[in-house]
Amino acid sequence: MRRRSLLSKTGALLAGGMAMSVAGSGRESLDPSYRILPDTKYETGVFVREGTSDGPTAMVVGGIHGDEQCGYRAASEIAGWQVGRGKLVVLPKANRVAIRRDRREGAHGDLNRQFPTGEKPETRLARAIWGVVERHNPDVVLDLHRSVGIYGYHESSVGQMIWPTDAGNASEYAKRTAEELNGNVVPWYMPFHEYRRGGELDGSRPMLVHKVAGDLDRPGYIVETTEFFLDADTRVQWEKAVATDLLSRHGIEQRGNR
Amino acid sequence: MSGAVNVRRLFLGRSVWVWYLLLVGPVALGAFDTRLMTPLALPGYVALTIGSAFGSYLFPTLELWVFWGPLLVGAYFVSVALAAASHAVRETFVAFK
Repeated sequence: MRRRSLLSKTGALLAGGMAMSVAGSGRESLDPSYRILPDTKYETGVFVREGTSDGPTAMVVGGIHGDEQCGYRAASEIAGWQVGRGKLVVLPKANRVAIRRDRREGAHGDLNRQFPTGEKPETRLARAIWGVVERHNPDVVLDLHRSVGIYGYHESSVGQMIWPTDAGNASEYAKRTAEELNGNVVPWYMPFHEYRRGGELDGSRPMLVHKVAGDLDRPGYIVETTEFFLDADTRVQWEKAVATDLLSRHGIEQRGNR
Repeated sequence: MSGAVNVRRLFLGRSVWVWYLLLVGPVALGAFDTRLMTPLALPGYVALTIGSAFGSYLFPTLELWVFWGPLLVGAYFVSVALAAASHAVRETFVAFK
């Protein structure tokens, strides 16, 4: 019975996700609230969605690595949300140069190694992204990524992991979100694809979410979904499901969703 | 002559390919589109994941799709063994008739 319920939920979620994916294909036409680095090759949009009542502010970033399509596709879909309360800030395609090239690295190497804790970010693009963080002062930051393989199984891979910062309830929320996804999204017959919570990020590495931990001492998460054995649309839907659940735990929900 | 026919049947007989399709078909479908993933794919899924895990440690520069190769080849030999076993079982039941 439980299995049947899981299967139906998974099917419904994926079917709904496919519909959203199709609908989301037109999201490029949505106008951003503002752009960072306008009139440069790095120019990219920031989408700010304000709820009808006060609440927390969350920021979602995708496309830090240009070849991680599920991250920026999921973030692009989230950018189209209307939220019930609080504020949602989405930077879906952080590294336009890398995305255009379909490469991990952009014009100045790996963007996610340019955010040292306690210092100014190292490049113009990294400073502009951190400027968005400072401007909106988010209570939580999500950074959406894609991995080649599965953490612990495939060499140098970090897939199916949710890495929380060492701040607030991030670690507990990451654990609960993993459990939620494993119960309702990941089929029981794909046990290696179950999400897990990673070690806490503490600002010790020059990554965006590490800097959120080190400089702001706020909850933040790196979400990694593997491309191993998952088709492109499923990666997007699972990545979005993780982000949706984490945002919900921090009080940000898509209007109309419960 | 009969021996040659049996060897051919052992390695290329219809039951070998039926078993091969059963082993590889569901996992290939699941990899092509995750919505088509079913419990029937579990043996291939486990073999591919564990095989690629070992493979990625032994050959870290190789991309993971490369490990479909050993799966496809390995599944053939498993299919031969399963076909032989199922044939033996069938023969046993016939013998008891």
